[in-house]
Amino acid sequence: MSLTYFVVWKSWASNPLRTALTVLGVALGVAIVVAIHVMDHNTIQTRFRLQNPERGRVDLEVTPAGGRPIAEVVADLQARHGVDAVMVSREARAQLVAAAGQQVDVQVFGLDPLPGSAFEHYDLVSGRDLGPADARDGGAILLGGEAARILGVHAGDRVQLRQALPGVRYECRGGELVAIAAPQAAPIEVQVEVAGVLAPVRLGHRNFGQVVVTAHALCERLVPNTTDRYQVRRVYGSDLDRLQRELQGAGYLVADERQSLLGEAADERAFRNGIKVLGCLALLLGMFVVFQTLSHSLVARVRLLGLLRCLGSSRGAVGRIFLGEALVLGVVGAGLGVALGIGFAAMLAAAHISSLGGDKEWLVFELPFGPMLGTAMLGVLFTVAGALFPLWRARSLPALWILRQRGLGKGQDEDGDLLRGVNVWLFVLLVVVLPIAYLAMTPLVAEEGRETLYVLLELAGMLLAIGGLLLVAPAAVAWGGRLLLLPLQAVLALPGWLCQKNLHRQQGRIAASVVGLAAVLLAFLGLESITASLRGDVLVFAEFALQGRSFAEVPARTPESVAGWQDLPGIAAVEPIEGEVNGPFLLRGLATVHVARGALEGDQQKVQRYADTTVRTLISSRRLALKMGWHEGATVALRDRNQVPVAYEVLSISDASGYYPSEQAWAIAAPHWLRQDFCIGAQCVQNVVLRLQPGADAPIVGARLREREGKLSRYKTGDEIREYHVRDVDRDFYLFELLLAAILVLAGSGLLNGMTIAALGRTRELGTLRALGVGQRAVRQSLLLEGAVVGLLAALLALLLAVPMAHVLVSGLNQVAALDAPTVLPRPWLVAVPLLGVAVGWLAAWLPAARAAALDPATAVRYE
Amino acid sequence: MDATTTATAPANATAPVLGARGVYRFRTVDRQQVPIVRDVSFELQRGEFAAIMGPSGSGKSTLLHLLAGLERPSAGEIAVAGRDLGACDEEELAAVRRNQIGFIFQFFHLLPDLTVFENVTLPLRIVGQNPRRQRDRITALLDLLSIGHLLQRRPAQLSGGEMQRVSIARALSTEPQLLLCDEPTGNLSSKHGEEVVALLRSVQQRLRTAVLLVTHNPRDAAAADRVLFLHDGALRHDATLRNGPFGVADVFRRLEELGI
Repeated sequence: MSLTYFVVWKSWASNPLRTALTVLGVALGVAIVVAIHVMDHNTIQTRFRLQNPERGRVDLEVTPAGGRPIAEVVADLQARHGVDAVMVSREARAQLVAAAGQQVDVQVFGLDPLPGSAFEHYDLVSGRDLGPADARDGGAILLGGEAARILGVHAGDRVQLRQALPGVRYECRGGELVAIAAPQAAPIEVQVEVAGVLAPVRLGHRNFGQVVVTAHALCERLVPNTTDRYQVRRVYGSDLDRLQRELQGAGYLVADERQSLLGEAADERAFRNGIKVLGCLALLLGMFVVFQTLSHSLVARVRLLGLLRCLGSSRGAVGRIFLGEALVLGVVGAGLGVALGIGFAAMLAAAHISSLGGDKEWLVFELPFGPMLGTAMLGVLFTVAGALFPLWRARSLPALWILRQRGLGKGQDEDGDLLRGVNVWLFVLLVVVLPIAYLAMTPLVAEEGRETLYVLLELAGMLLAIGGLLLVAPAAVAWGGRLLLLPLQAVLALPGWLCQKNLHRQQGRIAASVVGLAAVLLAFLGLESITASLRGDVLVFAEFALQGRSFAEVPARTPESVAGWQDLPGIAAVEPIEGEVNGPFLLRGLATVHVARGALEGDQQKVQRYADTTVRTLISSRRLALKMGWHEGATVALRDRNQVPVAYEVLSISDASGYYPSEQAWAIAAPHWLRQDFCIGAQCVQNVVLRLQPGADAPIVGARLREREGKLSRYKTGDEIREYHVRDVDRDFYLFELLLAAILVLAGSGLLNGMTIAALGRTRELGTLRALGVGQRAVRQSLLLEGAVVGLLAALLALLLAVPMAHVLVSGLNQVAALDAPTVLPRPWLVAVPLLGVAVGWLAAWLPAARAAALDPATAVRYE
Repeated sequence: MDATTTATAPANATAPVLGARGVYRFRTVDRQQVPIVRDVSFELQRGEFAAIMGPSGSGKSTLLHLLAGLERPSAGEIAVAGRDLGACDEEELAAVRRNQIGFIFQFFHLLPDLTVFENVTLPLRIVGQNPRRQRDRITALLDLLSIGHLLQRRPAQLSGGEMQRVSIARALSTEPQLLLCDEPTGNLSSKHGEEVVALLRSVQQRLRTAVLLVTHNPRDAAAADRVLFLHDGALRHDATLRNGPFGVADVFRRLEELGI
């Protein structure tokens, strides 16, 4: 058995608790990060699967201002920052006729450039894909599986493609839909080759498989007077919201493709990045724990190191022992951490918690091996790094000097303190090396530039604060601890004195524990600040949009038909939503009289402008204005039903009118514009907002309404909706609370580790104290006091930093997620955090205190 | 038991196991260079038992550490088994310690988590040997030291005398040429101390190991073949006792003469 194996094995066998705690520290840190990676990966994969099954990888679909040549539009789109590829798409109807006479009606998709598989629009089951050579009239087609079956054709066969002539089309003229007969002509017929047969996915699934994919040029012949759509695929990481706004500003109509954003909408980015930043905190704490454990356990075994050197072991042999031990511990811990992380992820999947919030089912459970193995490697590397520092320090010390040391910490010779400078080493590792390594394998969800920089600065700020505190905390710990123990002098004189002595002697270790625990408590406070601020945002919104209101949904009817509801007791006003148009944003019609007592109350000039039949104006909600970057007076480009561009002026930004429970981003315009531009019919009212009289009971009003109407599709009160949104915030951030709770356990285990090892190193001292007459209770109390002091110091540190941090976090969230949430401090948590800190510190100290109190004095004084 | 005025080597023609020439060791105390060891020169032959006596603070332990290569002299030369320690780097010094020297500490320095057998055979592992293959030899050594029945015990279960015997056994496990003993009876009772010194004598005679014992106890020094006296860091060669063992009274008398 080699010396290395022998010494390591003996060390583990004689101190299984210390070994287990070290492994646990690595494992927990790695597990949390692995769970986050698995969760985020599967969240995105689920969104991929929920993506519109009838299209491929399309990020945006845009329609340009009319009359521009295709080449010009494509060139313009491709020149824009963040655009990776552009495809032109046109749809048509046609008939296919086989040689044997079978016929089938098909939906035709004309694409350019070919092949369309570049956008993953389709898959093939047989034959070949279309290529650039097929981009000519009379080339080849890809045929849907069902159409191929009906026609009895295979790849390589030829069929006849016949144009389907339109019957009637409609235009919006003067607010009325007018039928316009299409001119009759001989249908176009071409012979085409069936190049391949489509799989029943995406485009191949359309029209029940009776579908054709062909060159855009051929489709253009079939339907010359229809509009092309331009499909845009963006560069990975580019900001979709920014691109969307840019295109809209350039006059394009941009379809809201939120489904295809795959968790990259601004608020989703903030959420996912927040989780990843928490992952970094978990890894940091895990490495912090293991580093501390290994450093201090190594120092506790410094006499072994000295003895081996005195007996003639080479430095290499000693280094192999300690580094080899650290390597094995790291590998075992990382392996366990990966397994635990997969387990945690499975629990999150079972609870339907995803990296986009709660109540979101996972459709898949895949393991992203790259990030998982990278995290495990980080765990191993940091464990080894934890052994490097003391070994490096001991290198320059004479072996005999090391052998003479009887305990940890400083002796008469300052150079002999093996842990002198360890906090600097820890600072470099945790604040510089770890984040770089973490970010290298965990790309943040953001566009390059300001947003990424902001998130990185936030992360760096957090780590610098933690690391900086590591460097300055030791002296503060001793004095802070002394102050906290002052009130206890009368009651716990001896335990307090013992505790104070130890705080002074082991400042470095205790300061590190304080900072580690403070980081977690601060993260809790930050999280609760965010949720309190978001709740505040909901409450502010509710005050304008929900308070004193109820919302009813009815079968389509005229505005006049609901006017009589005002006679019902409790109802002060009835505000029917006269039509809704879903375009680049939700646009609703609301009569001037309702806007005059809502969003434009007191501003007669704006009321008149709103009612003006010569100027198109709209009132935007706050959320929509933030998202679109609108201000009062801004011009908004839309297309009417005939695809003719129309411009609206942003008259005001307010939530006080036009809200109906769906989303918080909407705009309202006078109904006559919706009729004129979008031909909404007379029976355009399906949603009605009821303003209630002060003191009215909303559920009773709803009951009266049901009684009168006989049928209401839906009735919701403003209070119900407000409570739902508040619960939504809590539910979405529940994940963060879970993660932080796990990280708190990690911090507590680090504290337990450090105290256990420190107590082991004080065996002789504690035995001497016991031999001199100090009771078991006093020994136990002194360690419990130490734990409580650590927890309280950590809590005070967290409270000190909580206020500025809350401002930074909330303003960052507002910026990234286009919100306007106020900064709200979570008052209950300001009280709970000190209690939590003391509880964690006390619990972590419980085991070391019990062990120290149980020491046999006779054995302990003989301990070397 | 004549005292001679020189510290020259005996007439034995073989090279000394240990040789020191003009050795100095300074330490900085209150920003002044204070000599702890001054101009020490002597030699130790194979199989010789020598003692260095001196009061506390005379530099005995420092001198021993210099001779073992655990510290470097400020000046002078030290050679162990013909190897000049001054020309060795740290790794070479470690090699000398593991291959040529056995060291016995005042405070035993046994590893608490290892059994007696494991503590004794630790140096074998350090030199890369398999202790199991040397089991018979080690068992015989432990029997020689009367601790053969304690193989599986741990240090916490041993008396002071037993721990020091284990420490001696550990120092001898690699059959070194030179045994350096730093106050080996300092933490023992009088009875145990006598036993340990007798053991050292026995080992020296049976195994022909050179033994250098550093002590402030005249009883321990009297067991040696030669006693050198260290006073204020310097050897009083004029006071060296030769051709021992001696009576304790001889040592006391010499101490009185030296005013130590």
